[in-house]
Amino acid sequence: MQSKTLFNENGHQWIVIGRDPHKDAHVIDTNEYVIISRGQAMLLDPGGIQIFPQVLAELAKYVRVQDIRVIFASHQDPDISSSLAMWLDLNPDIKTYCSWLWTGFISHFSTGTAIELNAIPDEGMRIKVGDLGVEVEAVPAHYCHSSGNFSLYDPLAGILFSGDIGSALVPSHEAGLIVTDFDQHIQYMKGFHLRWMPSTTALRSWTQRIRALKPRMICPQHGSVFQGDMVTKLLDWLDSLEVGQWKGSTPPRDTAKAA
Amino acid sequence: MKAGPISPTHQYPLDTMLDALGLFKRNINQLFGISVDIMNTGRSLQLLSSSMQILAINGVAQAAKVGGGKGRPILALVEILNQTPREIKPEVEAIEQVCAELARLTAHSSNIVWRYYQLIAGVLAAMPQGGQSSCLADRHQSSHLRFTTLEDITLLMSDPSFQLGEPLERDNRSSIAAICQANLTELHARLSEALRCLNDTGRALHGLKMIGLTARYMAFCIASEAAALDEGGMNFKTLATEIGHVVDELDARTHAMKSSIDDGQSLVELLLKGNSDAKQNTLQ
Repeated sequence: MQSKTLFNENGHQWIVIGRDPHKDAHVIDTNEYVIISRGQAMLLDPGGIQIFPQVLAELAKYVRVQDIRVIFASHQDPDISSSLAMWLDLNPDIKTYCSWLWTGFISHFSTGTAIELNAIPDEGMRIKVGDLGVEVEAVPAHYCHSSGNFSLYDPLAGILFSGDIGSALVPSHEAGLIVTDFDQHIQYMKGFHLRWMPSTTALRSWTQRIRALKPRMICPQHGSVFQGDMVTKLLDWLDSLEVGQWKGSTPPRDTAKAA
Repeated sequence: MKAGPISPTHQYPLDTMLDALGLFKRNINQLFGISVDIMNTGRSLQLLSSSMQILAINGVAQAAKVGGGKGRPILALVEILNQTPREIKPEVEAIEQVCAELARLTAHSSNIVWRYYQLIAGVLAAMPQGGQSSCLADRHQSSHLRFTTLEDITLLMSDPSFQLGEPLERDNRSSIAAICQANLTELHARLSEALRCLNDTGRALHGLKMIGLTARYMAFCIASEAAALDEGGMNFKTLATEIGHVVDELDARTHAMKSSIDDGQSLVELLLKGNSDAKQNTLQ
């Protein structure tokens, strides 16, 4: 597992963990993000149980496990939070947040310790990173792709965690973590969005909300990070998509390959 | 095969450990199968006791037909047999209760070892890599690095390589390893309870065997009394033979149950020592 600091100013950090070269080939590659603020940490989409040991080992380089205070799950998929029970086993005081729609579902990931989730209302909410006051914002991303879905915006760092939006199925762990050639990167994103995003209306509504926030960086759960000009290019490209158009025909080749 | 050092080639012991722990976990899950076997055999004994009751009722009816008070001893004997279902029922219910507890403990143990598996893999993945020497490789064979005992974790924590790296990493390794120790301690407590359950089942089985012995003795007495009867003696001899067959079946099933209990006890004793049974794995 590899990790990289994306932002580090005045004791406020964003770290991405991912690109695991030892990962089983049948497991989709994921990015796990950590916000560390004044020594306390918030994990964003901590990942599936399959990769828990590697994520834990990498995270152990940045923060004490006792100082992980919050876990945010963008939606209910297993690659997002099937490791939740393990994190709570390590630190039962961690507060977990997800859409109200999925609290009862994600609780099924429990393996003994009951998982008590804090419900995020549809309109979103502010969440403290730790006990010391720094707040981030859960931004509605419903139907992008899950019916109860949130992105997470950190105004202090200007970074948006976008969940599956902007995700890409990059060919190997050696692929660049930061997008440098947007047009070349589209091939890895297109199939993902055409099939996994069910609603063009919802997607365009999301891009409007995000443009208003003016993030400096967009960090998806799969693939590579967008920063600078690439942020606008991503939002423009998302606005150009017509998703959820499957009519019973054969899926596009790149999606079939990805699946 | 010589042990690979935890550092720098940490992947080797990690794979060995995951294989060993995977088998350990599968062995724990096999306790489910054993408890189900015991419970099913216990339930089948209730059917057998009903057969015994039918024979006893038949015996009562036939003894009533014997004139001159000669049927009275046989009547007394078959009435004792008539009690068998009532005697077997609480024994079987006790076995069912113990088996349900055994299944609960197995599920709990399976959850613990599953969590433990992830955490110890996390500790090993967090061990320092690249160019650091480890004494662990010099002292132990790789087969010792299964991490299914507290001693293995203590060994890991006392290894010089465990103290390498930044203070933050060392602290995290130590705290996760401490949780691993707590998990293993809890697992051992649950497995010890499972062993106690199996022993309880063994005691209930002893009760069932005693019921079988009593029934067989009754059959012997009925056959003896039948020998003294002129009329209808053959009917009682047949009855005694039938009772003998039912007791034979009871013996066979209690023997099967004992075999399952023995398998369970051996397996739990093995797991408590931190060992696993590859043979069990292929048999199940």
